[in-house]
Amino acid sequence: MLLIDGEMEMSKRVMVVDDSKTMRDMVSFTLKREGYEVVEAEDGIRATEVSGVGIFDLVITDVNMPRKDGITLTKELRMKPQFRSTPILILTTEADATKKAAGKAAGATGWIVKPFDPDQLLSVVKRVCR
Amino acid sequence: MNDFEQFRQTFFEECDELLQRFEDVATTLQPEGNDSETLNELFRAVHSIKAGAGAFKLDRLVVYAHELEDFLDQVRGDLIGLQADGPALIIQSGDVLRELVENAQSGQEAPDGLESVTLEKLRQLNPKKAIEVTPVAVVENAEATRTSYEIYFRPFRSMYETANEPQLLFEALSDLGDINIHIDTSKVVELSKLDPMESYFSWNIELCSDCSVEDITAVFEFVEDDCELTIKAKTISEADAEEIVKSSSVDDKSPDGAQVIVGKSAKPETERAKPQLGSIRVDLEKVDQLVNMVGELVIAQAMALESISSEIGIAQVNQLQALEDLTMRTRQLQEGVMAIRMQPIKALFSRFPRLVRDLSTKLEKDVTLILEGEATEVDKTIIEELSDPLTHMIRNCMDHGIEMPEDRVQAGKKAQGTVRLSAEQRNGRILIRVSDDGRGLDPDKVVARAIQQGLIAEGDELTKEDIEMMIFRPGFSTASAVSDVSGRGVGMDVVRRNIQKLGGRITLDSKKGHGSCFTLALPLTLAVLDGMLVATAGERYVIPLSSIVETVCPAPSQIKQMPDGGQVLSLRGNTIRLVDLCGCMGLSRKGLTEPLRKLAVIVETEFGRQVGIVVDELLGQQQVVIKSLETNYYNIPGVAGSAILGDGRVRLILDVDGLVTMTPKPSLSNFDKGQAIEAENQFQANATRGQSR
Amino acid sequence: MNQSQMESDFSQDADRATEAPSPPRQYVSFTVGDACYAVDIMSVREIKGWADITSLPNQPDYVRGVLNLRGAVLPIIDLKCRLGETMTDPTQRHVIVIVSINERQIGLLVDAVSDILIVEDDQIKPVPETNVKKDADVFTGFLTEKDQMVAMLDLENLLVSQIREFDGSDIPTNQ
Repeated sequence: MLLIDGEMEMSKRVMVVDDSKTMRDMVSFTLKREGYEVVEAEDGIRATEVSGVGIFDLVITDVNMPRKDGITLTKELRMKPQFRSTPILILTTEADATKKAAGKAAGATGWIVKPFDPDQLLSVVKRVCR
Repeated sequence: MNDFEQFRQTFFEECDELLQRFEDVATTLQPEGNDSETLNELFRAVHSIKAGAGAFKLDRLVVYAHELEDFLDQVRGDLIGLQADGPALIIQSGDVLRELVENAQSGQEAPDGLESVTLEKLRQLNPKKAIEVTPVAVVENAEATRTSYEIYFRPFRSMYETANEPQLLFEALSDLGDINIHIDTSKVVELSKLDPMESYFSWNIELCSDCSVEDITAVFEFVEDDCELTIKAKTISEADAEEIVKSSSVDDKSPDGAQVIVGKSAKPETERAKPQLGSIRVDLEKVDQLVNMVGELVIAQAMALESISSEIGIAQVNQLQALEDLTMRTRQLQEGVMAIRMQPIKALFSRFPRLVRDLSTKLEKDVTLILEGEATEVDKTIIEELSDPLTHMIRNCMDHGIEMPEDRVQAGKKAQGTVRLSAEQRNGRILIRVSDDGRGLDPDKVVARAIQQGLIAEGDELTKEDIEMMIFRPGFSTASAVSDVSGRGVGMDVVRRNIQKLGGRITLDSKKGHGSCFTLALPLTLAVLDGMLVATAGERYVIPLSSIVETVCPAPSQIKQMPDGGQVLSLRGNTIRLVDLCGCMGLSRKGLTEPLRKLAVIVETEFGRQVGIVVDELLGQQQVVIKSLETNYYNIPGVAGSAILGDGRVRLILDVDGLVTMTPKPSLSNFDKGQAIEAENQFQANATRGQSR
Repeated sequence: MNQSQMESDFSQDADRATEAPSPPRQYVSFTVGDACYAVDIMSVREIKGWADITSLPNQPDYVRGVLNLRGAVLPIIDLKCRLGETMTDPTQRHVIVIVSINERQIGLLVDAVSDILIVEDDQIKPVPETNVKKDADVFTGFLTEKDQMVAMLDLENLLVSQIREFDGSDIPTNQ
């Protein structure tokens, strides 16, 4: 992975974490089209590896993933100094209070409900990330 | 959602993998004591399918997947116990899921009630009522009246701890209407007492908009537990000042009590019952980029080699060896990288046993399918592109090839017919064979049909190969009625075209009464071409090796002039039309000496016709990296693409089929202009008839 | 690809050619024979010296052939010939301007590159009606730079016209 640390880029860098390639593709596509730089990870472990390599402006993560799930990932990221103020959005499939609460408790900034269309994704992103 | 349609294929590929995983895992289920990771995997598989299905609006699939997911969620949460027939039920529910996915993929409507039985059984095991998916209620303003809102917003420190930013929220509010923001800094303490993590600001916001209160609370959706929020509304008319007070009174204590983590994400690394094979998912695009880069590397290395090797003499043995070493390693790298795209052909073959079983039943024939060489590795694209042609050929075998059991017995064969599908690598090519022990081609019928279609005339002499090649003509079919099994209009000509597009060839070997065997010869890799470098009139071209049958250096006596100005070659009793490459490419021989004896490269065209391309010299075989002309220019008739050779020059790769139908300009040095035009017209007339005599 | 396909592809590209310009733009100017032309610097990818070109069969005269640019195969257009004059007789001193138009990279054969011009929109004058010698659609305007008239090239139209000409049966004689 070519992540250049310390370089002041104008575009925002987003980490997209989901074990579903389809989801990753769709989210990446939507974000890249808006000028974001996207780094993908297929589960929490990979996301952790990737997190140490660069500066991120936003993290979008699914909850249900093998090896390390999104809630655990969120908790761990929040404990890292460089992610303390990074917006983290979790992807949920229901407008279900318990899942959202779990996310918030872990430190997530907000959530995106699947399925979503590109505009919905972008409007949530705008609310948490410049 | 049109934006996401391009990911449909990825989604269905993923579904395939997920369903396979589901099936594999489900077969290891026990009535009780199942490993939590097993249950998690089942849940996640269905969960992912549901999420994607939602994105593509496949409602029926979503509804079913949702119930199944919910069921599995409860199982993994120990809220439902699987009983004796639990495992079997889950396997069955996986089958139903697969059917729904397949139907969604093909766009067909699945039969009514397909899932109802399974769902019913799932519900019976589930003490709670199934949770319905309730779409978030969208409350619209009855009339879009402009309302003036007064919003009081005071965030707690917990809001900042989750990286929410007031400014972004205000920006979102400003999208709803006209906004005025006033900050209240009265609570800020002096610097020495300041806690940087504490929240001291609050804001009063005036919003003038035709949105509803719900629209406003939606903006604050993420932070409603982490702030104090009050919204007052006044309609502009002021006739009735409505006061809607909405406040969130939770103090800034983190809601520890609400820690319901759904599902067990117990140990991140768990011992798996089934060992995972060491493999990773890689973007095909990345692989393609890598393949391209290595292709460039090969070219660069060849160029470097060429420029250096001319300077080096035998004396510099060490340098020569170093160069050879470099060449070898570059080739190895190339082979290694090409190999990444390779997959076992099993992926392609795996669907056929079921097809044969289904067709056996449908056609009331007894047929067994034998697969050989499933482990043979081929380029991923080949697997994708061959799926349809092979399906078509196997259907053909079953429909037209294999006889009814009674007929077989009468013919002295055993009642059960055999269809054999095999793959092997040989001489840098992949050979795939589809054969059956059925009735084989009846030459007389084929000839009769061909005469009927005007493809040949009565009394024409045809070799065995000619007859076998007939069936690849468009529209050719000896079946008197087109059965719905093999389909209408998808002929062997389409199959052949598809194979040729991959750079391959297809031939048929058939014996009446004994059976038929189709052989597909395909190149191992697609970005690289084995070519024969030829020269004519000072220019060089590449002819794909896969099209070349042989090269001959004909004696003048073997070449006959035709009245239309063209030439034909007499070779072992066959008449082969000659195509002057120099003329087709519009080259001039002015100032160049013509070689005494020219060469004819005999190639096979689309229709199995053999044609001889006349060139001056053969310069040897070369493996080249194909560069499409379409990237920066357009397709040119007679040219399949371009290649960069070791000397850095670009050479054109000939499109044999296109070349043969082109009207070459006869070399003006041999005719006078009047004759040339006459000859050209004649040639054109012949070309359109597709024959040469 | 067949001709109508090509035409529709390119006419779409041409439609997008007209845009509303704002701040001063930079142009690369070059000479072709006695005349001087310029293209938007944003289209220019690089400048290259003359190199071996592989000719393409049965193409209009001004399509000199293709070139290998670090692994990419690009067509080379003889600008002088394309604009209606004689073919260039290329030497080592000639120059190829590699431009990018709608994701295609193409090389323009010119005599020499002159300068980089910074031009305000109001300095660009429209193409005069009387200029019959050259194909008027191919220019977006012209300006005067140090007593020299510089014609601004519309690269997209330069190629769209080419497509209309390129028709399988209309093959110019080579000799």
